[in-house]
Amino acid sequence: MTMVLTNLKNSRWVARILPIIILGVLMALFQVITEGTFLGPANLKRMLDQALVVATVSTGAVFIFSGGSINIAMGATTALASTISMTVFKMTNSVPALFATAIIVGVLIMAFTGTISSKLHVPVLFVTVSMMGLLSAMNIFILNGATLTLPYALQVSLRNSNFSYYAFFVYFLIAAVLFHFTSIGRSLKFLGANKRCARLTGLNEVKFEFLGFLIAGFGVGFAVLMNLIRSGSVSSTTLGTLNMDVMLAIVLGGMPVFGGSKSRIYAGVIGAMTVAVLNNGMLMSGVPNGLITGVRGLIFLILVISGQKRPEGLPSRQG
Amino acid sequence: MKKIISILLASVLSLALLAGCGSKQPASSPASSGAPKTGPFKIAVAFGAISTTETAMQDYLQKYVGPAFNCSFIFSEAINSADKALAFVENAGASGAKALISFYTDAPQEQMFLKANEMGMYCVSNAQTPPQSWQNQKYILGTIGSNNKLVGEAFASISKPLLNDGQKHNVVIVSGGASGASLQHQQSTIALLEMLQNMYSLKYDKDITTIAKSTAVTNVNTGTDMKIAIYPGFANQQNYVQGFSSLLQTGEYDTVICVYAGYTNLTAAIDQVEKTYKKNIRLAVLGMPGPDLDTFFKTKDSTGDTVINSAIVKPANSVAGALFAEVYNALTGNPDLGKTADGKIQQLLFPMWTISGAAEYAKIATIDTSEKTYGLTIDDLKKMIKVYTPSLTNEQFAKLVLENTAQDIMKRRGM
Repeated sequence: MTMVLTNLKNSRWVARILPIIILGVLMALFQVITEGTFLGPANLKRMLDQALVVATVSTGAVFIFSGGSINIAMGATTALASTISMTVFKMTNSVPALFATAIIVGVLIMAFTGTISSKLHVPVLFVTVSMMGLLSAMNIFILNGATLTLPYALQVSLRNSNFSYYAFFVYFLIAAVLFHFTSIGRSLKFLGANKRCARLTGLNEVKFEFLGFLIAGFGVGFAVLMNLIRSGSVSSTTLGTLNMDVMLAIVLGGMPVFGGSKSRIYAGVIGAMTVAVLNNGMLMSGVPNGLITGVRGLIFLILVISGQKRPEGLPSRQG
Repeated sequence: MKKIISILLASVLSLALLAGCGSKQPASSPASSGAPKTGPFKIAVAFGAISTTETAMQDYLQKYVGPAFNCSFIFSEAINSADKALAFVENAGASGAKALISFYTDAPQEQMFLKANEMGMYCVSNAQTPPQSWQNQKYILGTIGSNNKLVGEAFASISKPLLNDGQKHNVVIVSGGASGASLQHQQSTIALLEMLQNMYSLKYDKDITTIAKSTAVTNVNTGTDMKIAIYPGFANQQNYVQGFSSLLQTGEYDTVICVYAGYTNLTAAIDQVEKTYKKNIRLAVLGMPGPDLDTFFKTKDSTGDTVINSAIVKPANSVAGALFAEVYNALTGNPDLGKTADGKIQQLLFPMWTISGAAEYAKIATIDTSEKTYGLTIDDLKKMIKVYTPSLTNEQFAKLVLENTAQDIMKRRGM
């Protein structure tokens, strides 16, 4: 029986579809409990809105995690890019400037992190531990206790333009093509599966890792805009839990944290939706708030157990 | 395979069971018999933190107020960001909440209320002056709470007895976010500096607001030999407590006034200095009713004095009651009761309680803690709700909110 379970757990198809099945089961369950209101169009849109920022950053983060690197500064990067973008907006009162700054700053910070890590061969985890503190300090310094707010009329108008949905769709589509149909995705997965072997085959590790950061940087930029359109403000607490949310989403989506061949571009989206579905569904079902955290933790644990595998020997990564 | 299926089924089953824990309809109650047909209503309550204070408020609303007014409540987890605030409002609205009471008062609350307004949820907050963007929004009712001036005055009032005994005193003002983040902390620090200036005829070398907004530890030039230090920041900052301890270790200060509810991080440092110098250091704080305040008012330090000497207290349950009355009025067709005569939203003032000494604390501590002693009972709330008191006017409602000092309540209870 243990062997059957292990085989099942290691089966690429089980790992691939289990997170989707669980998401489907949860949605069906909440639909029954809420007597048919859970899957109404308004509520589905609500959950999509709640998942969009995490899903976008997670989609970009897949390019970093798949190569066997763990970036824990995604949240701090997005928060600082938000602050700088809003500061530029406050100075110029220009929406194009806001959009351009968000993308440029997002890409630049990620490129800087990627450069330090890949060119200087410092593990991403250690670089991002330091970057996280540095970026947070810069964010606090720029904000100086203030809250920067987007004018409400502008926020509503941007929301009504559906920019966030188009941006996510385009970004996800491009990311999916790059990850699954070009050498970028294949090389990153190879690096994640076995870095030493990938190097021996002549794979340009520095180039592909840097490209991964660059692509993730675009995700950060789009997420900045989506978050501003949704919440309309930036303060020192903005996106404070994004980093953990992104890691959680990737893991819940069934992707191994050490990357490798089982990495999938949709993992972050499935994971972010699972979190949104659980939060919304449990509240609609009347689960007391004191129990929501516990139940969510239990379900996360089940998903993690089913989707993750302990590497057989660090520091090599298992695909 | 069986194990996987059984794990999945077990989680599905536990979810289904837990879903049953939350009742969709409030339980009927003897208190509601004979009441006008109002409700059932579901009300969302947003918290910025979950501590014993918030748990007590949940009990007050869910177990005491809810059954009497045919209302049920959805309580948030601790909200700490804009995305979590928005998600809570959206999810609560989706589950049928028609109103929102917010104890989450950080900046993203502004957007949270605009979202609630879009969703047609009446909302009221325990914040200070409502932002301009809330004016003329159909479902935003305003705020109920203490304002900076009231808190400042309350601080001056509780600190005065500690300082006007004819002795020389040196004071540390722990100013929290007075340098920028918190207007309340700033106003309290200003009020304290003004009080000290008047009491001791001090001549500061800078204007009081500038001193209050100090971003680093500042020894105020008082023009006399009296020492006043401003100690800004919060305990979650690096070396904060160590820095405070070093300041006290000079042995020069005998009075500490903490303008925010962070005194629990300071008491150990104070105790250490008291033991070292064998001198009493008096402590005045802003606090919430609960075990911490209770312990510190009852515990004697090494000099035989109580750890805390005086305090300003926010009577959380009573504030929750007043906020409930305002949303309940709106839900039952009277959304203008908390507004000004010309229909503008405003902040209704709710008094902070002042406690000068352990003896007064012993009296006040018994109020607002159980069904028998709640500051706002069901009968009090009915006087604040128009469907039960049809003659109620906006002015009377504001007055009933304001008349909730500890002394008012003790008088009402015949204590």
